[in-house]
Amino acid sequence: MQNFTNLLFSQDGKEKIADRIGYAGFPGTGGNMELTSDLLVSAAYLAIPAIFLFFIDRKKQNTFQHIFWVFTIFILGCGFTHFTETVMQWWPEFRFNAITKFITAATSWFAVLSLIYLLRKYLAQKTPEEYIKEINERDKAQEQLDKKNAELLALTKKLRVQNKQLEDFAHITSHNLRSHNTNLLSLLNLYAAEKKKEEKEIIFSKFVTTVDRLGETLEQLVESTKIRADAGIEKEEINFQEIFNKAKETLEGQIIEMGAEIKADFEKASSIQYNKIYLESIVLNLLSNALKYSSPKRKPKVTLETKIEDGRTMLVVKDNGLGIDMEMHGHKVFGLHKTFHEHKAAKGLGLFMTKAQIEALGGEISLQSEVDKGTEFRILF
Amino acid sequence: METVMINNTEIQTAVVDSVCVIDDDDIYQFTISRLIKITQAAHKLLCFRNGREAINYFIEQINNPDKLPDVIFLDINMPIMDGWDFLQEYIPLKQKLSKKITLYMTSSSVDEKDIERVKNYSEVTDYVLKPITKEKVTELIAKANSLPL
Repeated sequence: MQNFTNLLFSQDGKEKIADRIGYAGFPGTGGNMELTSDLLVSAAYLAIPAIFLFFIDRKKQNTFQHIFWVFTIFILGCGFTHFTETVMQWWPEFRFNAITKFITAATSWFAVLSLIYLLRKYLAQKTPEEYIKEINERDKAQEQLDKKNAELLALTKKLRVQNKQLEDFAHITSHNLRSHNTNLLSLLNLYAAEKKKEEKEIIFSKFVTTVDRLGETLEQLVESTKIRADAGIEKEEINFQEIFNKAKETLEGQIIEMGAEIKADFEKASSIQYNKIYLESIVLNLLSNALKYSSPKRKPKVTLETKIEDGRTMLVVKDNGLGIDMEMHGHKVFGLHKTFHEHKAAKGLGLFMTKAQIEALGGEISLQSEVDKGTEFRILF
Repeated sequence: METVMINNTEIQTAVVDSVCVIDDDDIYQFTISRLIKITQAAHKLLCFRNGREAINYFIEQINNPDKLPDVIFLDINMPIMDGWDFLQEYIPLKQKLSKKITLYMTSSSVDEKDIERVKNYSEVTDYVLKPITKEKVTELIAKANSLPL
């Protein structure tokens, strides 16, 4: 150990140092030029790693953290060699100086190799411009995806409605159409087995009734399929007041006779882009329903009002009529041939068609009702 | 239309005393009444156009077994109160009725949903698809008659 320290800090040749200082100085400068420069360089070399360390500390997530550490050591090493050069004037430790330089040289080359490695890595990476381009492309793709998604959602909604309509149609076919057919079959059997002429005539009159009803149901089905199949329904700007006046005119006799009070307020949305025939049919149907199912206990009061809800036009039709037992009938209000009151004109067709028309144009209809209080229909166009 | 009651007084030996039809279809009511007469299935026929009318009648006659039917033919699709809603009110009422009553659900619906739904009701003896023929009436009434109390 003693030997090693002796070897490292051997001061052989210290008499030569004075010469070196002497030669390095320019005449008249006192020979301190090299000394001062070395001190300044050392100080700068100390300052740079300090800045690096500050940077590393601040930017903890830096991808290049490692190279900063390498450079910190490398520059510190360089600074230290300049420092030993300076102190050699008073303390000529040549071997120590040589080792310091050797370590610095090794670190320098490690820094060089690290730099080459990093440069290759950096060149393989995308430039900021390339990143911006890619982000823009991604934004665009996302936008298209969102658009497609919205389209898909709309399509799903439409399909769901159509599927429901198809189910309804199958239901109608299996119930309403089939019932006429089974009646015809039963009558046929009775007719064939019957011997008496007058009895046969009675049965025959039932045939007539059934065939008429069958024709009626078929006609209604054809009408409802027309609504459903009509994809390109013509739309135009329609004034609610105009449609309301027309419906009121049609029902005038009934309104006067019943002493009904009909109020309309279309201030909030006076017109709509819609199919005229459909809107006429919808308003007439709801208004005539309100009158048809009015309470015998009080004079009918009906209000029609338009609103804008979430950017969509809404029509609210409210009456003070019989109301519907929602718990019992709520799920079948819009079904074909569903009636909930004793009324000779009730066929259970109006609301079925109204709903089909509204849904064909992408709208929704819902209701709130209370028995003996009244009913409120809401149409979201 | 009022509740129709047909008295087949000319029938001497009917299988059961009375049959009840709950159906809004007047043509069906006509054909079934004829069939019951032809097959001599029952002395009396009670007809109701919807579940509500029938329930009201049953409540009224709750203690008169003579006035209650032995067999019910219940339709599914009816106004005011349909077959399903009728069952909701009939099931708790059945316990209080002083008579064994066999209930058949009758419909022209071939809808699987309806057929499956009937299976959930132990009170419904069978689902009978319309049209109901002479042979079917005989079979159903005989079956009702042979069922244990």
